[in-house]
Amino acid sequence: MRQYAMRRVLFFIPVLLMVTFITFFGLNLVPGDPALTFVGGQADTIDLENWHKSHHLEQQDCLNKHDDGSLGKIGALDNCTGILLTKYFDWLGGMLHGDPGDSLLGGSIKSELKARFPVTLQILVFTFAFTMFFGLLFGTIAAVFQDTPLDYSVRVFSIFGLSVPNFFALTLLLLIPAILWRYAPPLGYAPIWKDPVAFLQKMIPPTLILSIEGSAGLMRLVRSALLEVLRQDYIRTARAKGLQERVVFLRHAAKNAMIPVLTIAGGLIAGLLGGSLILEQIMAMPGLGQYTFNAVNQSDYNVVMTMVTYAALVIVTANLTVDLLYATVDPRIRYR
Amino acid sequence: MTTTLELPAKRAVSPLSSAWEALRGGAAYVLKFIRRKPLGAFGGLLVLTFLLIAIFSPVIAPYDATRSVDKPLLGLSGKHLLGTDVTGKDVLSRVLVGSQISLALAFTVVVINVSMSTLLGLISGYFQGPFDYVIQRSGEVWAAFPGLIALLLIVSLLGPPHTSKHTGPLALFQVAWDMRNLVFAFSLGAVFGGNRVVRGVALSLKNAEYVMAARAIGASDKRIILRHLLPNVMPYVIVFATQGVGGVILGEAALSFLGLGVAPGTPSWGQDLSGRNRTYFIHAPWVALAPGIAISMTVLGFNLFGDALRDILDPRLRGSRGNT
Repeated sequence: MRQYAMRRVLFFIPVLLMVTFITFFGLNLVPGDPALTFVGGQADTIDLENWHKSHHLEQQDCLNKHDDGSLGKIGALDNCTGILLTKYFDWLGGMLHGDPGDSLLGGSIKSELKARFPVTLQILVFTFAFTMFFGLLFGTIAAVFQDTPLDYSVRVFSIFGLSVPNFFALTLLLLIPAILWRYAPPLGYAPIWKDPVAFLQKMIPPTLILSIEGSAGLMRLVRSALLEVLRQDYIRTARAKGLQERVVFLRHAAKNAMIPVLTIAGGLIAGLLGGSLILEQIMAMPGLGQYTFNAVNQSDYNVVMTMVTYAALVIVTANLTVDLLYATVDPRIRYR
Repeated sequence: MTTTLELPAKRAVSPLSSAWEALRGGAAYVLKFIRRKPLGAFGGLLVLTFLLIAIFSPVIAPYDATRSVDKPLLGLSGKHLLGTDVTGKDVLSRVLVGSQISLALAFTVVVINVSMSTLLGLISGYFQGPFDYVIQRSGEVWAAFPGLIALLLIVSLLGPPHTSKHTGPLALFQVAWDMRNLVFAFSLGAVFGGNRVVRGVALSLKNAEYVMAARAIGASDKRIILRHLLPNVMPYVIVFATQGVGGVILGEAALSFLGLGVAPGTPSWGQDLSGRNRTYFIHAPWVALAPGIAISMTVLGFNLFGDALRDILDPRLRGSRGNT
């Protein structure tokens, strides 16, 4: 087990490096010059070189000079690889010291992250909790009461839940109460400790809606996994031994049915990062998703780089955790 | 005796009657599908309806979807069945024409996904080696990218698609070509996933007895791949691809909703739910409901159809598993 874990953990590093590397080169090769986006105006009216220098984007001078108008600035890559690599390692060094640098808008990224991280974390925690709760609960109910109206309603809900886009569902959350009861759910964010009531009022409805997609998928999975396990011989044996149904279910069935559930838990977290971005955008919550979205729109290099890296870190960690848990639950995996 | 007499007669079937036979066989298959999987058939019907709408939208849309045709935010009426939006465009026409974006993208991605996943997956599963290594590691790197953010990055790198109005009979293909950047972005993810599925099947079949037997009698790699592996891999790819379509449509809608999908002003379901329209949803809910329901119904259709297809085609699941 330890060897397996070590191998997985070591594998983590090159993947993250590749992600940062691709993002860095990709961002730098985006057509156009960030200076123009931020300062506005024409290339000849501002001192590009000075602006690049003050924002640590000297590589853009080289890229602009050698840009031959092909896709992005790929044509300039031959001449500018050196400076790009230097810049990349500079940035990487900063990241490893825990300092992502400054945003192109000015202001330290670190302090933004500090302010915004709790918002996104709370969204993720709430959504994940709702997803797990409803997914496991209704998936189990559907399996236990297979082919009853209860089962059918869970299945109908889950197939619809998977089909409605989350931004539409969130729009309806704002729209339906407004039309029916002339009540508009509050937008924005309230800090949890300052005003817990307002916090819950603003946090629960949207995260509940955001969890629909994930829990719909989870319900289906839990249901089919449980049905599959419940048909196995060892379950029949357990019942034949005269074990209580509760014991059969919890000790024998549930544990094995968890294996496929675990596999999607990792992917669920990756999906939630995108979901959180949309939620923050619609509900006007000052979280990391909003920050990332604005940064991508303005090609705010450092911010995008930092956010992609942290997001990838979260995803890789989630997948790693799932893999390790998986190996703990299912001993067969370790020896592959 | 009778059998020997029948043989030459069977050989002499005219092409016309064999086409008729095939048609009858196909119809019988469809009927069986409908009987066995009514929900899946309903899904298929939804998909077909939206596909037809997408193909004929330039003809059936009552107004020009890209132009203001009346006062803004008019209610539902005989003149505008689904009212008008904030700039006075006809909502029904926009929903009809907007289907082009989702459907063209969905079908293009499916075609690319099926062909590329099969090709890459078979090669990397059968030959393994450095090619396989590179593909698999790239897939793992791709999986570490946060989905929506990766799409945002690709679109901002390649530039947003420049969709223009197409009305000819080939409109759907032209729309797909206009969106090639989006198609690329979505296909990348789809192929990395699909390729893994195919590779897994190819790996497990590679040492199956019947493949060994084929190799023993001297079949070439090409023949083994094309005649022995390909037919066995196809069901998995088709199932994987159909089940992924919903995600592609939702992804494009989300991108357009965030303003990074198709060009502003293009009729697109995701985009019509965003922007200046949002301010007026409370006064004119139909502006939000029409495109939202259209996306949901299309994805629902693909999901139902994909599930039924999985139950029928995926041999691992045949007879077992819940049939949600």
